[in-house]
Amino acid sequence: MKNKAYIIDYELISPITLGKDSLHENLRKNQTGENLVTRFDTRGMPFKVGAEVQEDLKHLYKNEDERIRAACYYDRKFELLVACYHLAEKRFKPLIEELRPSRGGVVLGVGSDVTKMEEFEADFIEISKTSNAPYKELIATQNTQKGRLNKIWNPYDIHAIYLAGKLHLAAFQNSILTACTSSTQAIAFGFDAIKNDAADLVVCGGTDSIINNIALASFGKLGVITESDGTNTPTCIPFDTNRKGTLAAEAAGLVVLVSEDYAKKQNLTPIAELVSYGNTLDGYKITAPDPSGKAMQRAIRTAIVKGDISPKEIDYIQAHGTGTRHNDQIEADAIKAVFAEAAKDVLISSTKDRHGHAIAAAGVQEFNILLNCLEHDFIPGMVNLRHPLDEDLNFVRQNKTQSIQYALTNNFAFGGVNTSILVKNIQ
Amino acid sequence: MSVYIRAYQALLPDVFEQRVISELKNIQGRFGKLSIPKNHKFYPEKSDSKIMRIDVIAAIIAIQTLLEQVGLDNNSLEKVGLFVANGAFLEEENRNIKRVMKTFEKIKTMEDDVEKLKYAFRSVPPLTALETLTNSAMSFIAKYAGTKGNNATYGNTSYSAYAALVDAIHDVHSGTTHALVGGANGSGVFSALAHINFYDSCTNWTESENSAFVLLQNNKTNAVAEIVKYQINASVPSLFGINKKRNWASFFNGQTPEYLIYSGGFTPEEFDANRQEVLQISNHVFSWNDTHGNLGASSLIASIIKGVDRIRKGKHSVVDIVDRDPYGRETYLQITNIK
Repeated sequence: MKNKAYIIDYELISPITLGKDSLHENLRKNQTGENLVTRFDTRGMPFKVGAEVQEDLKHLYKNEDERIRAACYYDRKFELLVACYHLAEKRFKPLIEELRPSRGGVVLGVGSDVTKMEEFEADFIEISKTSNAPYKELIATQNTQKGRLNKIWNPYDIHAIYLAGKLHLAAFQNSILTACTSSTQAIAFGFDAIKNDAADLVVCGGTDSIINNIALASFGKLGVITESDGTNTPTCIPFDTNRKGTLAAEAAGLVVLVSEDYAKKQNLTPIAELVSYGNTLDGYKITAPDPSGKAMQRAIRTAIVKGDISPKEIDYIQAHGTGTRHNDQIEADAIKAVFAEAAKDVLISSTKDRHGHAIAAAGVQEFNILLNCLEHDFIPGMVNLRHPLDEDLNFVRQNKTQSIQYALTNNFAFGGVNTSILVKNIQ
Repeated sequence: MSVYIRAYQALLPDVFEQRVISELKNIQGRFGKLSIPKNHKFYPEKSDSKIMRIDVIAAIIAIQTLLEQVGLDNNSLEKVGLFVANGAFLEEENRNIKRVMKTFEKIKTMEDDVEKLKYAFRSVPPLTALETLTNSAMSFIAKYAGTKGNNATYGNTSYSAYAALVDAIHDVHSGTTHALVGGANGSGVFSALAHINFYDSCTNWTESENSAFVLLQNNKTNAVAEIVKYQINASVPSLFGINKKRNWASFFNGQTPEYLIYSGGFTPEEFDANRQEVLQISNHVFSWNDTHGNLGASSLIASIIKGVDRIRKGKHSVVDIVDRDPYGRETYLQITNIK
């Protein structure tokens, strides 16, 4: 467990940036991705606002295999991942030139697949004429036994295996499926692989999109998405007393972790050190976080204790801050409980008011934003915050220019999963 | 650093059904089904069971049964790691999925687009997101068994259990005393339809509902076996071009294993190829596939349980286990008796 894990590079496709190069500028000018949803017809539902990646991504993967391009058409989260990889390819490939495939791995957090039903409506109606199980027959006839990429219900593993194939990473290709903590855990277990000498380099991250009718309807009916027809924006106001829910979104992000030895041998300059993480379960309800916040506190505390620092050494917390009633109050209380006297000093903000909640990709999106902030001595303010839910905490309202030495990033998931990661700026 | 197996528990299918997956494509399936009595002492509360898949219920019962044998106190339980490989998240029998299908049926005859969309939105059942939640097994285990430590859920093939096992071992190596690792596997038409594309031709799908877990620990006290080797055949898997050649022999360097347990297959042809390969390596082989069908995401853990059982009965001191998933990822474990 002597190995240190360094972050060497990262990439992000998000509603607020197409690639990391424009991320800082877009953060600085408070760009938000909140918009009327364009990817599907929202008439008939009370959720018309989302944070979409609105740029056309096809040009990024135009030279891909025809089957990959076809899969991108049917599976949005796969498209986001493929596009994200191609944005980074020229930088990532040199990192693995000297790497033995058996010393490189992939860990990705991914979300659920959703059938693009509008695409298959005509086929569905046709099959319905002769079959009493038209959906099954639709899948059976569309998934045509010519490879591992489906038009309907893609297996979760395809994302990690795609990436492994591109970068010749043979040590492992793991898919983490823990909803809003998926990609946070992917980064944490990439860290474990480095610490336990299971790999010299791990590409971690995740991809997800809930900008589709089924996801928006089902999350919406659970009461976690702010109802909006587009006139009552902003819809996502983390840590505000007037918060009403989160903003449905999509994103894909990748992070390259390497061992200290590999970084030295390859003469790589780290952006930051991934110091430690905490990862716990509420064991409370599947539908709501434990109001006591004990497991949330334990995740945050574990990250700090394993990092061998004290809370007062932490400059900034990139909070989960979804804008939902439950999460934000419990997270604020958990921070107060863990940080005690230091709680009033640590700077806290959530960036979900800018890019929304990308579920399985939320963790890597926010982790990468944090890395970008470390690089630029920048702390993003919460652009929509007017009435902080707790005046004792130091919520950041205006962007700040300030260097960060230690920072935490939190993510918490449906089903009561709590993950907190500690990073150290070593530039 | 050593890792020991303290306890284990599995729920395996006891009923097998032959069902049509697709009439148009002429695909049949043989599905192993679990029958769990609702009066089982660890059966979940009604308010929870209504949003649980059968693999989730099986996992909760398996874990509670296992932990009852071990008797950890609440303080220890809270720190126990929990690493779960999970198969498909959609059940054909799910009443809400049936509701969604009925909605599609209904709206196809509707003319007005807005009315169609309104009807579709109204018809999406609010519980769908919970029933198909990918970390449902893990989260419900935490609620019912009180295990609240380091955790993750992995998808979806038998390789995912290997990924879960390695992360659980890392957890134990990093100082956790105990970590649970296992699988919860649903089976049925939707699992088949998601993976059938992997095979050049497939007319018979085989998969079984089941759940299997082992408790790892960092010391020998009361341990029943030790995991001494774990390894992946490090070739890069591909989304295309299926490598049909098995390379399990490379794990043994010409040695003949004392007892070799191997994974099943989603098709009879796949399982047959596995059997032909292991018979080249040893005459003393076993696979759950013969009696219980392909155990999917839990397969590797069920194999470990079989191996531990043989060791406890004194039949072997060393058991080797090989697995292969539909992407051709091959993994290997060796477990031994406690010395």
